[in-house]
Amino acid sequence: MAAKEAGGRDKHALFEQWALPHKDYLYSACLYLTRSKDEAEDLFQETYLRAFRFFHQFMPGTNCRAWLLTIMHNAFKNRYPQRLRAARTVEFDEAEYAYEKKLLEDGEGNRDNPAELLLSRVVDGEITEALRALPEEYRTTFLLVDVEELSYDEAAVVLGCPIGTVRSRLSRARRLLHKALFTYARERGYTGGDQSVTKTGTRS
Amino acid sequence: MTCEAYREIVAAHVDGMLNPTEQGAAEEHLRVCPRCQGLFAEESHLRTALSARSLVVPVPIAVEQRLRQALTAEREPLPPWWERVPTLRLQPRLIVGFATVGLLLVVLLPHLFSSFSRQDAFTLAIKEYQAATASQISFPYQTDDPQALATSLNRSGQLDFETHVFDLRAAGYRLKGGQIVNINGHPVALVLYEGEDGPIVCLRQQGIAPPMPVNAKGMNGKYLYTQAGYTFSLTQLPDHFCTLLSRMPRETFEQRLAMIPAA
Repeated sequence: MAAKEAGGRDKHALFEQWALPHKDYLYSACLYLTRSKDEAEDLFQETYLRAFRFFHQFMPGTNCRAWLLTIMHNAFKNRYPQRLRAARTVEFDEAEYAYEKKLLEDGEGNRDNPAELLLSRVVDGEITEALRALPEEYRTTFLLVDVEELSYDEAAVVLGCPIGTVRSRLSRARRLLHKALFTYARERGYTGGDQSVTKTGTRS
Repeated sequence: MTCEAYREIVAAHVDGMLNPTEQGAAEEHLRVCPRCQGLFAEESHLRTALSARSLVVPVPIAVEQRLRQALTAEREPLPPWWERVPTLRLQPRLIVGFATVGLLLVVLLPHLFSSFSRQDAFTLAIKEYQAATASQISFPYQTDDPQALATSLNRSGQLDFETHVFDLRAAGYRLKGGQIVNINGHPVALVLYEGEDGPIVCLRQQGIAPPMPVNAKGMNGKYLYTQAGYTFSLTQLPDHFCTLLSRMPRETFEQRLAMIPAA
């Protein structure tokens, strides 16, 4: 079934059926990408309105969420020029060095606590905070694959880059995120030695 | 595989997204590199930890309502064009102006596309009438038989249409003869009749008849028109048009024409 034909039959109903169920995923992506509630709401609305106007271009049977994220990513790039986005971006090496340095200064560079247990103790808000602190290109790639659950191929289409770039950015994003969360865990006094949380009131 | 190369693909390794060749090389590297083993473990832990969480943030109700209102506005059909052009609706004089221009165009277009103007056509016809009745035109095809004259004219090879010569003998007219004259570069069959009410000249030429003036009178597919003491009868035929002219009053000429048998 061609998208145009489907759209002509009942565009409004099909949009409701295919596009709107992804609204939470799309809103989350807007939120993590812009790191601002107001900007996220504007980007969210602009994305859906664009999608509605160009719904005849959507190919039924393909991933509607990936299609919406492509529109969102383009809208985001249009809203924030490269120069502005670059100002928000921290070079990977610089970011990684800062994390490594902090870990060593804290005397935790040997990572004697089991990371899995530590990570299980950080709360969602801390993950969100760490995610929003990632440089944009890593944050976007992480969002698409680990939050929006796109395949590597779909993420490459959304970002307009080779799949190898997706793989390397994702590796770096996860590495940075892991270090950030590890730091949170230590700063808040979480330990991996037992299932309890030593910092009072942080987590039950 | 180097550590640096492995760091670029560790995510794909954890996700099982490497091809068999890369997978083999990665596993080979991990067997000899404790540091990258730790890296693989870290990313695996992170993946496990995150998969148990939901980082998806629900859309706030107010935001969703705003979106649905915007989508509804997109769905509203557009009003008719005349309601979207307030100037047309509010200024009826503009509509009258457009209508007038349109009417003028309809009236003037036939003039613009006519082979020649009405004034030229009638003036030229009068000149031919005057020349024919003043014996300024010789008539090589002199015969009293309309059919024989028509045959001679058609056989001349000078006409680009099939002409016909009216038989006015029943109306008291005598056929004087015919000639092929040139008007504005076009061959025209000219036939002269004589009767008690004066001569009648018939001109037949290819093309479209000039537009009739507003005071012309229509009669059985013909148009009667009077100008400068001459009365014209124009008839548009499939491949040419026929002009009959005389100095009779219109009413008299009308009676004579009623006696002409159909071609």
